[in-house]
Amino acid sequence: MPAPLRRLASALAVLATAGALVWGLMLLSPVDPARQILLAQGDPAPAPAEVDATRHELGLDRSYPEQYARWLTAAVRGDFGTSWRTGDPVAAELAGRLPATIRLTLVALLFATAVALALALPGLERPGGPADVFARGLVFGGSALPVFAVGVVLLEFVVVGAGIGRVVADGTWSGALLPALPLALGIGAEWARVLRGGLRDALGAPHSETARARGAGRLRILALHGLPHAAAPFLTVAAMSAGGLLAGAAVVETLFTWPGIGRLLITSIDAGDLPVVQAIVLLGVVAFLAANLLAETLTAAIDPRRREKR
Amino acid sequence: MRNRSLHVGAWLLVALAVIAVAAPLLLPDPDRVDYTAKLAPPGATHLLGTDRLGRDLAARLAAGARTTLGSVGAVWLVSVAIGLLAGTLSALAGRLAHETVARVVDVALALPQTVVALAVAGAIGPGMWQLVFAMSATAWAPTARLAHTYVHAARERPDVLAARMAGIGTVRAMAAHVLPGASARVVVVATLGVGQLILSLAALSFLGLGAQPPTAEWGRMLADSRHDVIAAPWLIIAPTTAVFLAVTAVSLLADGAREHIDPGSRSWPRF
Amino acid sequence: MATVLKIRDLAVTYPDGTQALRGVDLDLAEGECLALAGESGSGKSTLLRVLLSLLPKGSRVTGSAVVDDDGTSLEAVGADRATLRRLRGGLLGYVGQDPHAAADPLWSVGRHLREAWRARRMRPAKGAAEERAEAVGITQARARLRQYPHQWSGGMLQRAHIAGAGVHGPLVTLADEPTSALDAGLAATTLAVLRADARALLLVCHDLRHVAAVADRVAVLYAGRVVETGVDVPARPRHPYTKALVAAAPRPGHGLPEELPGTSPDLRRELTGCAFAPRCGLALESCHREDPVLDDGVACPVVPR
Repeated sequence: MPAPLRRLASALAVLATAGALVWGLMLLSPVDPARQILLAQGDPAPAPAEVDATRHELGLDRSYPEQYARWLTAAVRGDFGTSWRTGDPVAAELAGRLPATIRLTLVALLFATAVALALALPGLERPGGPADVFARGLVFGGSALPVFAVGVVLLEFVVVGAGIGRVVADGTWSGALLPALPLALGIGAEWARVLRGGLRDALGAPHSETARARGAGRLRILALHGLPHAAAPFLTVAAMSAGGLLAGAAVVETLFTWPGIGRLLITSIDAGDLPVVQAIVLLGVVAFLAANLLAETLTAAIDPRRREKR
Repeated sequence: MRNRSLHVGAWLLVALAVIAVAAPLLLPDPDRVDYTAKLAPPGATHLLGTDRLGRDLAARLAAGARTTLGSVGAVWLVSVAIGLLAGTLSALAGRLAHETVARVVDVALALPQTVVALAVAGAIGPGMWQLVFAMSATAWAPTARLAHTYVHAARERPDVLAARMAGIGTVRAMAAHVLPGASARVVVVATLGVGQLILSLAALSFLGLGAQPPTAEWGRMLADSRHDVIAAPWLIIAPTTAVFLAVTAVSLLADGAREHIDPGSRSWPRF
Repeated sequence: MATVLKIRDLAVTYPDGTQALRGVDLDLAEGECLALAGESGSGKSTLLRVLLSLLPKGSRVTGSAVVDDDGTSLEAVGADRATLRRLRGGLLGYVGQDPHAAADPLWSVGRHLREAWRARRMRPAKGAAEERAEAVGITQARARLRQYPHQWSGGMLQRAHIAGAGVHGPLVTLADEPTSALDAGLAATTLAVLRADARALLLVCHDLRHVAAVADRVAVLYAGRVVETGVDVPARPRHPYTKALVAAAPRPGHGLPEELPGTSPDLRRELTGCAFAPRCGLALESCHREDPVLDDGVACPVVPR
């Protein structure tokens, strides 16, 4: 099997297992889904017969493997059942919230890239020099700073205190600039650390020396030798940070009342709305797997040595 | 001084632990409400000031340190113990055990720690021990993989081969030549993850999914007093500094330890 | 014959205080091959790096190293950007130590070769890279240049580097132990290819035996100074250090090589007298005090002229 297909297959296998675990959350929950749905749809005291009918309709009287299979096939089609809180389809709730979160995370990732480059590049010219030490200090401090504290500072001091930006976020691109900042800082610092290491290794390697001896300029060496080499470790770490994005988005969205899935997730956890939690969690896992798959594929495309082996 | 980060990190961590443990003897009860002293600034009676319920901030910070160090310590222990056990045994056992552990580790590595924590909180409700359980569920995977790789590779190492050829049993040769190196690396990798763990626990507690009132926890403390921070900036400065120092201490310690057993290497996993 | 490279009183101090070169005078004539021999740490590689301005930041360089191109003299010490652009890859070609390390593993060998033009903001004519490759004995160049360095053998890859270094017909080719990473059998042919392709060649080589076949002249460096220079150095060493160096090379059938006693001097300290005196069996009392002068090709007062 060619390597890209093999990577896809193993990602799908992991996803299926993760899906089983996410579905299994239902078993951990002490709540009866059928009753919960009837309650959410406005029936204040569902009769036992009604509950049994809904139970049958939902397939909850079948065996566990059957239930999982039904849940999974529905989930693949985008059907995550009914919200226990609102009685609406989960998919509709998500669809309304997803674009705002995508906007927020894209802006945050853009910021993070800018932060990473701004902190990694200045110190390269003279490792151990003042610019390098300063940037490394910022990287170290930035990665130890809690997202929520930065968020509170921005919200309470900048938005409320100084009146810059909006208190109630609307989920638009321009509204994403401020909430994206706390999300981007920690990620950017981590990226800068890896980028700096990768670039230093690449620019100190004999092949960069060869390029210098042949008269190549600094920028040319940075762009053609440095960045491609730094890309592999950078992409790996960048993909890893996709795993923390959901929790980060939850913090920022809750703080800034951003109408995205992060805030919906926290609302749903508080309300015990398990179907919505399941859907968002699965989305988080899919995003993480996709990011890793993408990073692996790109890394293999950049490095001919990886293209053949494995 | 050689390996400064190891020393600075270790001393910082010791200082934090001492404060956490000694605070109950020196400071007021962290949960004692005193409406006459609400939002009091730092001063003689209240070293770091008070929150809107008049609770002593210094005492609550120390109590928060106990919460954080306790829960982080639990996850750390799990990741060291299970990681070492699963990794080492699967490396020495037959192909089936090897494959099984490898697949389970694959899945555990593919599940982001905080996402699992959010899922568990959604299913069985919020709470610090629920978080510890959820975080531990994936925390052992990187250490297990590392122990597995290290022990597996060590089977063919010259010193181990020599020991086995000298007639010492495989298990004894491993215990003498490989286990110390594997344990040291597992401990370091587990520690490398602790900084992120502290940040995640604080963030999840900030969201109300971790420590429940009245238990003091740094993230929760900031969440509870976030509307007071303009009037009482010490309410944000203190818990943020606490998180920052704890993360810095652990990161310095872990980086220093990594540098100590494997100088100059950048190839270590960091998660 | 015209002198193309004139090095006078060249001294280099690294940022950590190591005096890698301590007053070196050397001349290289057009078309000549001068081999620089000596232990690691003797300053051989530093000499090449000065000429290309590849020393680490904060190194102190004094003296002069002039490249003479048809009447225009270019000073390599403290060269400005415009001069560097003419020197690097233009008047000076460079071949490194380990061919695999010196080639970017992410690039095809062909791209690496064509980079010799592009680095100097030129475009290789169609087929020019293949032509260069074939000139250094790489057969089926078209197909092979599409491959990546890890698919090439060290000897062949070093030829590709030689081809790259010679793209702009450099006046002087600088080669830094070009065979140390290769199998012994390949070393001689690779050196021959290098010699044939280069015009004037400054060859750093720690193995005196290989040197004899290609070098017109040999200069032996010890602790940052030239201790001996001449045509026949490997066969007829005169300086006590060169003798020890030759004796330390294994010669089958001649018994165990003689090890050089003692260790190289600490170059971070100011040295007085002959740097080799503490390890020299023939050292006079004055050797420890007075700097030896290079006279008749040997910097040693003990050697009979």
